[in-house]
Amino acid sequence: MHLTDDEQDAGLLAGGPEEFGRLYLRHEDAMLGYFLRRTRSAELAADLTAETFAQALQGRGSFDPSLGSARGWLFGIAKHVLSESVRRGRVQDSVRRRLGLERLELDDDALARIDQLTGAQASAALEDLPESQRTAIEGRVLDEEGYDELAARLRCSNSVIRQRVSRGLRMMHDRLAGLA
Amino acid sequence: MSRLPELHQQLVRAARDQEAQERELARLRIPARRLLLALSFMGVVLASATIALATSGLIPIGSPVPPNHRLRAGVGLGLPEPGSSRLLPLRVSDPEGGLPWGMRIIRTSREEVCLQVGRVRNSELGVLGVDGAFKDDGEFHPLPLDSLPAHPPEIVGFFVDATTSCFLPGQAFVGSRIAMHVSAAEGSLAERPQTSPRRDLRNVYFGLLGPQAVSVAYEQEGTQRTQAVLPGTGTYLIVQPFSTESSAPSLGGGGSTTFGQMGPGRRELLTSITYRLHGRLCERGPANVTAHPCPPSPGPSHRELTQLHERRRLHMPLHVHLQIDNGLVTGADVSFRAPYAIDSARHYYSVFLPEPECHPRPGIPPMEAGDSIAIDHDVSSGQVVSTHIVYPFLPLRRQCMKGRTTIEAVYQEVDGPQRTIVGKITLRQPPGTRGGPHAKPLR
Repeated sequence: MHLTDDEQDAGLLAGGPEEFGRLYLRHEDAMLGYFLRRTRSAELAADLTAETFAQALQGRGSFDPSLGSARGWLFGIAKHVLSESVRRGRVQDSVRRRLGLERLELDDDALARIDQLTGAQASAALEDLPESQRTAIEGRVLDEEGYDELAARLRCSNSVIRQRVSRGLRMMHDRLAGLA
Repeated sequence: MSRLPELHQQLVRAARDQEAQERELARLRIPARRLLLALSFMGVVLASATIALATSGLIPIGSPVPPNHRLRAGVGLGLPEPGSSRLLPLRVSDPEGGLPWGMRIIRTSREEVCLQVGRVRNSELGVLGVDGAFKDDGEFHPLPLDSLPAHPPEIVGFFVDATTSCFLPGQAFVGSRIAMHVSAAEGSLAERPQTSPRRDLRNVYFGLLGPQAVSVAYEQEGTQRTQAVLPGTGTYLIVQPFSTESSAPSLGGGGSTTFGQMGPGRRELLTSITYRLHGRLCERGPANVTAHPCPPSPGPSHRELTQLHERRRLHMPLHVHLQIDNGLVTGADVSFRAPYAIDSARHYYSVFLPEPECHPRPGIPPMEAGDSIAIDHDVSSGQVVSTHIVYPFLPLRRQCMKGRTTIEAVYQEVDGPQRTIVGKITLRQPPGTRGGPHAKPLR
C-alpha cells in the first residue's frame, strides 16, 4: 500500500526510536532551512532545530493526526521555540537538557553543510519581494501551510493568499531568470 | 546522510531512553486491561469488559469528566447556555460493539455552536474509562456541559480537546477525528493515544450541514455508502476502524461555509453531499461522482472584493507604553477605548502590526500582511481595551521600516470582509535601543 508523506510521518512519529530518527532525517533540511532563513546563523539554526526535535520527542504523545500533518505539527513547535527564544533573548534548551541531549559542538564542516541550505540567490530574490508576498510564499512554499490556514493567520481571503503566492513566485522567477 | 549526525544520534538515544522508561513505568502499574484478560482466562466472559457490560446496560457510571475551570462567560467560547444542550438522536455503533457513539449540540453565551462527540449511555454523552482514560476504571464518565474547551479549537491549535468543534450559527461544518481513542476521551484525559493499539482507535467523521442537506456519501472498504443526515440540522456521524487511508481535513475543514454551500473537501472521507435546494435534489462533489450537480456556490462579489481594500477609519487615539530592558525593546502595552461593544464571538477587536510592501507597485492595491493579535473577549462600549505586543521593532519582521513600527487597533466582524481601523499609531524606536535580541542598537 502506498502511503502519503503525511501518513509516513504520522507512522514514524508513533513508532520507536529508530523511526523517530528517520522522522528527524526526513525533516532535518527543512527545519534547519526554516531557522536559517529567520536567524541567518547556522549555529542558531542547529540549536533551535535540536530543541524543536527534543520537544517533538517529548510531546509526540500529544500529536493528533486529525488536526493536521506531522510536518505542520513539527513546524508549529518550531515557531513556538523560535518565538520563545526571541522573547527570552536566548535559545530555548530546557527540553533538550531534560532529555539529556548534549550541547552540539559544530565544526566548520557542519556549519558549511547547514549554510548550503541558504540558497543564496533564491533567498535574495525572496527578500526583495514585497512583504505581503514574501510572507505568503514563506508560509505556503517554505513552511507548507495550507491556504486556509494562511488566510486565517493573515486575516485575508484564501484567494488573496493564492494571488500573493502566485505573483510573488512569478516575480522571483523573473528575477532569477534575469540573473542566469 | 544527516547534516547534523551528532544530533540525529542523540535523538535516537533519547528516544530509546524514553521508551525504556515507559516500559518500566508500565511494568510497575497493574493495568486494568491485564486484569481483565486474567479474568477472561478464568472463564469469566469479560473480554473488553467495559464493552461487554455496556451492551447489557450494566456498565457502572463513574465520576463526571472534570469541568473546565478556565471557561468564562465573556471570553473565548463563553459558557454553555443553560438548557441549550441537545443530544442528537444519532446513535452509531462502534465497530467492536459496546456503547454507541453519539453527538450533542451546545450553544454558548458568546453565540458559538459546538458539536461534541462521545459515547452514549441512557441518553447521556460521556467517555469510557479504558486504555489510559480515568485510570482504566472501566466506568462511563458523563460529560458535563462545562467540560467544553475554553477557546475554539481552531484558534488554540494542535493541543486541544478535539472531541468538540465550535462555529457560528448558520455556518456549515465538516470535521473529522482520525485515531480518536475508543474511550472518546481526549486531551489530558487520555494517556498517549498514539501508543494505543490500532484496534483501540477509530476514525470519526462528523458535521453539521444545515436544513437543506439530505445525505452524505462516502467510501468504506471500497464500497460506496450513503447515509441520510438528521433532518433539520443536517448532522451526521460516521465511525470507522482506524485507518490512515482516508486523510483528515486539517482543523475541522472549512467551517465557515454557509448552509447549502459546503462540499466535500479534497482530502475528506465524504465523496458527495446531497442537498435539496429550491425544491430539487442536487449534489456537491467532484464532477465525476455527481450526477446532478448543485448550482455553483457564488464566489465573492465584486463589491465584497473591493471591500477587502476599503477601510473605515475612526482616528481614535492609541496609547502605547514601550517596555525597554537593558536597551532591548522587549514589548509594548497597547490600549484604546472601544468604540463598539463586543458581546459575542461574531465580532472582535485585534491589534494589527501591518507589514507594508517595501516596494509597492503603482496601480496594484496594497495587500495586507502582518501580525495580528486577536482580543478574544467581550468588551463594553467605551471600555479601555489593552493588550501586549512582543518585540514591536523586531527587525526580521519589518525590514523596510527600520526603527519604526505601525500599530493599528482593528474592529472586525467574522462574516464581514470590511475592517474598521479604530486608531493607528506609528512609533519610532528610541535611539540606542535594540529591536530584537540579535539586533544592533539603533543609531
